Amino acid sequence: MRLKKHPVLKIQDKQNIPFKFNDQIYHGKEGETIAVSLWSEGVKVLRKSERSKTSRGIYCGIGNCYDCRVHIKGRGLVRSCLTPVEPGIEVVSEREVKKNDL
Amino acid sequence: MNKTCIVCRCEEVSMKDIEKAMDNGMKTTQEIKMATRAGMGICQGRICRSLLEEVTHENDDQIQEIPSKLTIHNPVRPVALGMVRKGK
Repeated sequence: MRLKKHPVLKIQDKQNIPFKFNDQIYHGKEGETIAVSLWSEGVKVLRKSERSKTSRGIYCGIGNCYDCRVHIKGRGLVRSCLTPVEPGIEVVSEREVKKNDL
Repeated sequence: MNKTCIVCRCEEVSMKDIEKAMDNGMKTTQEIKMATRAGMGICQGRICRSLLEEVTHENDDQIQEIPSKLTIHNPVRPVALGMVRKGK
């Protein structure tokens, strides 16, 4: 999801923003949303559904479907596709998500 | 058509569940919602409302006077209770 090369645009070097997701440290770039930072680090599963425990992540990407919802400690429920990363935030998934989940 | 496909993502209602409700007499989207919980989840039907209206054909050949027969309940956007709490 992160552009490394572009024929016209100048790709700027952006600052690393460390944050936690399920007690694991990940790095986002300035201006990214939580969902995008996690996807760029290979994490596409953001929660498990209530009944069938199926993996869920970004679906609409525009804040409409709430499939990407996560909890930020001290802040509550947010839509990760809309919420920008901030240094030091602790993001937790709804229901247990293991590191290798697909 | 694979009937196990999910129509309402929030409440995990499959096409099979909706057809079962329609077999049991549910005709309108509101009735299907009451029987299956489709459209009652956290997104309040934003994703599945158009699919449900497609299944019931209730908006075919009609000039729509109201946006949907599915009632949309307040609050429009869900927030955690802790965010509403005052003083903390």
